[in-house]
Amino acid sequence: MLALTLKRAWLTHLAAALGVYYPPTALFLVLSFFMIVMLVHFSMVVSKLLTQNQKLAQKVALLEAEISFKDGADPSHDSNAA
Amino acid sequence: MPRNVRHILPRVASQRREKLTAVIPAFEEAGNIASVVRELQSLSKRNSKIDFVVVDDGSSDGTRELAIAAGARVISHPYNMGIGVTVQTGFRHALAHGAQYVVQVDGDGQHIPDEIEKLLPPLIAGTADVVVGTRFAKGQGEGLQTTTFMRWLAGRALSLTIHFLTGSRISDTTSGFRVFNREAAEYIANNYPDDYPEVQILVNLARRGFRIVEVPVRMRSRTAGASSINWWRAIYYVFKVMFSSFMDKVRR
Repeated sequence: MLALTLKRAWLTHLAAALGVYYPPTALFLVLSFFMIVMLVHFSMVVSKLLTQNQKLAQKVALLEAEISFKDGADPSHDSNAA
Repeated sequence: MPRNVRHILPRVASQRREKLTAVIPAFEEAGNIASVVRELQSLSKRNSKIDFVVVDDGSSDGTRELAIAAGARVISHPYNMGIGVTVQTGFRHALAHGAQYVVQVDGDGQHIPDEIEKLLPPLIAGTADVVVGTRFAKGQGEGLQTTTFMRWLAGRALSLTIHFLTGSRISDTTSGFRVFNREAAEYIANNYPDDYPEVQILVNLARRGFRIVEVPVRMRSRTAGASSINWWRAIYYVFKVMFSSFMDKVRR
């Protein structure tokens, strides 16, 4: 990205190769492409974290239940407060 | 328990205590949960092999407190995670505590706990892995009053989809009232689709060779609160299930 910004010859070359008439537009194209790739990547990361977080929360709920069933009383703290 | 099948199946003949755990997923069901708990309590008093657990999916309306006050064992999610995860939590708990059969009873009071015993015979006889309690009794017109026309139409579409995809004939595909044997329950505890899972799970189970049968049961209309399914969501639901089921078929 930086290289393309600094070396205008490369950018012109790339624009020509892509058939883009106005070189800065080619720069914009490259930028958009990377943005999309990053967005997809983040989306993947978020859904992975979501799944892991749910697994964790599920485990917490199950363990909390085990404890409360063993004590024969319900845990008095309010788990919905947070 | 039908005595005539006992000697046919040595697996069943062993005097193992066949515990059935009812999993009650509940989200914002303050108006219904107490009566559901009471019904299950009276059922488990009559049949000592049946116990139950309420899974509260992070409700903020006091569902959890009401269920505890009614005397239920309650597992509560720290925040709302959806019906899929909720059912899964309950199933994991049930399996960890040695349940041989697991039944899902919705927290909105539509399912009548007394009907659970009607669902069990095919599992005990070993002729099915999953028994679905259906509103649409075969060859009977009754049962339809518990559902709206839109739901009926959506149900028909889903039923046909399932028949096409798996060859199974299930008339009430959205019924959450189901009993699973341990093997099917284990599959669900590890793989349960996130949203609107009732239909998807049938497709997944059928494709993995689990035998699904239907037994007609009585059901009620909701006694309090609103259904989470509205008109638009029903349409979305139908298409989503069709799409993901077709994708599943294409992929393998």
